[in-house]
Amino acid sequence: MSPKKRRFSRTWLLGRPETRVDGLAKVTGEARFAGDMDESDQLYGAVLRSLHPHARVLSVVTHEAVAVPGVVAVLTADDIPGSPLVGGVIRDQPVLVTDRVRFLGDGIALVAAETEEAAQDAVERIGVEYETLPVVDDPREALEAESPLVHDDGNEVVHHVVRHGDPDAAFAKAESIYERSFTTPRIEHSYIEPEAVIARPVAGGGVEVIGSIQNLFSTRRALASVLGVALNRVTVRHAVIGGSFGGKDDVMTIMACRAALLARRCGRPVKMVNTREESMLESYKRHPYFLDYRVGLDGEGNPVAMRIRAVADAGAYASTSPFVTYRSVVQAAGPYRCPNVWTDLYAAYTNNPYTGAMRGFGSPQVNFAVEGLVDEIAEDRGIDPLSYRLQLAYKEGDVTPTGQVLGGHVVSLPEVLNKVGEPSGFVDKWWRYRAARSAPKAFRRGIGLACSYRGVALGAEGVDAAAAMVQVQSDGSVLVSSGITDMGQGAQTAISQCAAEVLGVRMDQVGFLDTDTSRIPDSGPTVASRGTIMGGSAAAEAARRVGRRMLDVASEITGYSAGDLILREGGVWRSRVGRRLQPLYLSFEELAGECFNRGRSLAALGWFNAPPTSWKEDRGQGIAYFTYVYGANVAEVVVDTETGRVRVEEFWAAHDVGKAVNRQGVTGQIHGGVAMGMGYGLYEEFEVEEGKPKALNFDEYLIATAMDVPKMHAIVVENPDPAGSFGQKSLGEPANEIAAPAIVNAIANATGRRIRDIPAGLERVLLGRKLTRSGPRGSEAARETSCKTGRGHT
Amino acid sequence: MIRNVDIVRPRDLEQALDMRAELGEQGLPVAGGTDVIVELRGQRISGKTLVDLSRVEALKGITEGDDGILVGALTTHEEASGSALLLDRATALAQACGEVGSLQIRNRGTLGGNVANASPCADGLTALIGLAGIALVASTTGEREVSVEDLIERPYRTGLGPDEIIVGFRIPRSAAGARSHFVKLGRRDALAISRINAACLIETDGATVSACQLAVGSVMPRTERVREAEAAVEGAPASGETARLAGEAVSRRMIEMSGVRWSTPYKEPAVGAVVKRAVLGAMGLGDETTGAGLI
Amino acid sequence: MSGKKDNGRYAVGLTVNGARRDVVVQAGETLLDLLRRHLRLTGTKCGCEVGECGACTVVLDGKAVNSCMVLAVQADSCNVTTIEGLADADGLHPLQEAFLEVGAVQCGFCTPGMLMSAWAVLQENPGPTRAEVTRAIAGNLCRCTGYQMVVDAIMQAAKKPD
Repeated sequence: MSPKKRRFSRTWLLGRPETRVDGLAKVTGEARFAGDMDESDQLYGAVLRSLHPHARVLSVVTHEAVAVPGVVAVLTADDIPGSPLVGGVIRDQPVLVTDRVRFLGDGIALVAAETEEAAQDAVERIGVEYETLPVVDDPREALEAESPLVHDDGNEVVHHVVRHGDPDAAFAKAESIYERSFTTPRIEHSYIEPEAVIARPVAGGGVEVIGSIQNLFSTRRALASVLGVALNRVTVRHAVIGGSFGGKDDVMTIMACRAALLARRCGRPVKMVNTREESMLESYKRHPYFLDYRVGLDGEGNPVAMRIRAVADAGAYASTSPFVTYRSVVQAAGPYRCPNVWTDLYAAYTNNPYTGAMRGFGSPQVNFAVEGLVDEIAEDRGIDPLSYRLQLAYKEGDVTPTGQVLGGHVVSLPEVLNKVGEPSGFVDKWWRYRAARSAPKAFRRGIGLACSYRGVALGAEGVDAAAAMVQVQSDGSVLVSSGITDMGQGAQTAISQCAAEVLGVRMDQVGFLDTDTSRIPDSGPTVASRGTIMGGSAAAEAARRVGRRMLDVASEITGYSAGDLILREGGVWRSRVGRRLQPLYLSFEELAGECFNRGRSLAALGWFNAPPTSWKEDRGQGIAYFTYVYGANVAEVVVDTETGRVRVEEFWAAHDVGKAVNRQGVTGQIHGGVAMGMGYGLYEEFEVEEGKPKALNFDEYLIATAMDVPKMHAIVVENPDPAGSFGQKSLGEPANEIAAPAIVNAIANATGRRIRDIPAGLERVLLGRKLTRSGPRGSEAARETSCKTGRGHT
Repeated sequence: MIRNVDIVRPRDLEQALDMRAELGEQGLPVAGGTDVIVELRGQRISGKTLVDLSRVEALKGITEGDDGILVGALTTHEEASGSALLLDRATALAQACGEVGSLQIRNRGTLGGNVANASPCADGLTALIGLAGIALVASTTGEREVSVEDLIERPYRTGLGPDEIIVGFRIPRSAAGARSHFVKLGRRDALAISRINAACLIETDGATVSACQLAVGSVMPRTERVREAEAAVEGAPASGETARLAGEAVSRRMIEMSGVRWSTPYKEPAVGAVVKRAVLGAMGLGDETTGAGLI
Repeated sequence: MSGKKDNGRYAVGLTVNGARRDVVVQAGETLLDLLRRHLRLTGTKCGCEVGECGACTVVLDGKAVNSCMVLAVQADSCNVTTIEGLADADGLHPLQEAFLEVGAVQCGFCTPGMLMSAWAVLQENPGPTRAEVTRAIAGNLCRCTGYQMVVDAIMQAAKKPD
């Protein structure tokens, strides 16, 4: 500890680029992902999946599989002791199907065997008799009255509305009206680690499960329900998780339940690891959307009316569709003032792969549509897209379509727009490239802009609270744990930093415990970019509780009032000597030891409740989210107008994060979000034809490589928010949600051609439309075709 | 892990040919494994015996002979892409090999494997055909030479007998001043399967094209030379207009061969552009026109 | 020298991270299987098994390869370096230090393969350009980082003496 007087800085290590707490193990290969773990007496589990996207299962014959040497158990739905159905919102998804398969990823039977090969062999020897049913593969057709049903109580999963003002009256008076339709693709999360889990039976009928599990508490609820035991009989932990992006939720719940069923039956640990093909076949995707926008403008170009209708393909099961579409209905009109907005958002069941949470959660789809539309209107009006957006963009006090008045935080949309507009030279380039497109050149440059506002955390979707535990050891080292999962995004580091900030200790004094459902309260799911604000605020609260007790002891030792003392730089300081800190020769280590000797508790649980939200379902009005973040992206591209090839050369992304807890983590989130958003805009589509995926591995499902990504500029904007412990808000999803429209708008700037269906692949860029191999689509064609085994079943 | 296979590992060419002859249809040569392993992994029962050629020294190396350059069948894509000899004398082949997959794939995948696999999208294959490469094929009964173009019968099918092994390739010596160029269009910049590729070799006499060889891949049932386009270029001035005409000739040929298909509205203009750029590159006019690196 | 054993099993002798290892494998097993199943070197990851993702990258006789695309018996008599062999008794390799310092690690699943590709390129070319580094890691898919900080880290490590 330095004996010199120091200038008081507002923060200690918050905002610094601290090295990840899990970094060392990850660069040495020591980090243990679930697939890297083994138990000495483990069995290997395998799943028989459906051969048909929609069929009745008439019989399942297992005796040949049972006879395979090394096979210990073969299970079907009849062997499930508790509920066979799971589902976070609507309980509609079978762990194993009973009488009907609804998509190719459905599981029919399970095998546990001594080796992976024996388990696979046995799966291939299970006989299933099917009676095929008509395949529903278009969500718009699914909503029609005559559509075959995917679930007996109807194909509509949800219908959200927003009813704000009177658009019809306003359209009647509008100066001009735009009607445009957009589509967005089904995409795969593409975490590089395929799913893996190990379940171990424990006394009392329960299990311990460890795996690549994003949302431990929802997996635990399902496990308890499927096994028919109480929550305290089930422990769920995550291994090091190799990426998730919203993707290791329901699919892991199902996998954990399957492994647990086998483990209970066999009385031995069971390990299951998906191949990439199994992963792509079974895991849920980002919802494809079909969006229709109608916008009326006044003479100045201000939107006066909007009618929006969108249909999301939920696939075979509801998963998080009701919540994903909730975010869409709230944010569909974009961050633009408009007094009359009516929106209808549907999700429909089909026999396609089911869709659920993926980074963005209902925002990338609506952002693509509204940002393309606003860009087009700007160009038509002869205004550059930046100035036009600044004209319309929300400012403090504006009212959103849900009737929420934006306030209590800095509405920084103009700021983020200017912070990408200036360094990229947007306005000048936009006019220049536009003028240059009349020249007969094969290669044309373009620059594009997109922006967004986004509700922070869960909003009125549900209860929003989280826990963290801070324990100071007698030697001054610190253990932090929380109910928030680290999937690679750096939650453990950010949450540790929040605790270390309050305790004034260095990061190397802090250890983070992997989340364990039996050792920390249910903190809700690690979704909605809520980790840093919810987990971080809970950790700060826990650390404050411990810190207060430590300062009480410091006060007893020094005689100074506890209110005059502060924990900083690994020791105790006097805080009220002018604006300077006065050092006291009492280190954090000494103080911790003294607390221990005096019998003071140095452990505390922090609990953070999000500020209240509200929602009236019938008209879609209320405080949809307690606060919002704002972001803007600029993409500069070169388009090869002879082949349709697009290269994104440079990218600027400005995001208001409230307060950057870890600056390096913030930059990494922005870069990764841009690269993923670029794939959404240009390459990625998980194509499904009559319920059958066309590609199940990375050879044909294309994500951006190192050679594809642009030079990226991450621009961090900080307007601390009153909600978070240090003003921190959200980033993971905002960083991903507007890259695609920025890129597609840049293509329009280069070519003059508006692409309203992504991905903007070679054909769309060259021809303005997609080419498909498929013949007659829909259920008619499906009836004529009998399905064959897809790759990845075996 | 591949199920139900066996493997033999010949130490030299003689042993390899013996094993190949003995195993017949049951045998499957493997070198870099980048196609074979992917293919077999998806199969439940292959019953194949892999004949691992990776230790056969006689199949390695790039050397210059009297009648051209000899490229061993085990030459990896990375070796070919970095070979000074190929870069100088068979540029299109070095370029094509450098565009394959990723470094890890290029470090394993071999030219012999690229040809034997006979994928219609193979990059090395297009370059070899464009350079009029000859495959040197051996069996226990002797050796034969066959043009690479003629060796390919249809997608994923060659004219190799079940007892034969590709030993290497001979790239005929071209006239001084001849130049070749390869262009690939993929959906992304690495790990991309060719949507369209083209390799062109051009000899000029002053400002006139005296000879042209042009091969196009991924657009016809098999990769082949497009003689109509070559004829359109030969005798014409080395110019952008000639290159454009070559592209159009290939597009016409593609439609003749395959008919108008779902992909034709895209491929017709895009093939024209890719071929034009390959021809321009081989004319030495590439840099300013093709915007090097974009596709 | 590999030799055939009974039941389609083969004895393979190779050097892994400087140590001689003898393993009995099946004909259809890959180098990835050999490392993960037989030697329990789980730092090398399995992501796709078709040579596309690069998570299984190791350095085989000086070249970066996808270990899922190499048959185990083909690695007989070869020299293999995996992520476990990168650090030595003196501590982390400069590449590992740079990955930590720069922030090139997020979920960490691609990291071992990425580091091995980086190590291989620096062995051949100690002073690479940014474009050369980018090309060298183009066969390593990463969904978290957007690659920029990975390339930054490799460039930073390249400036340091090994």
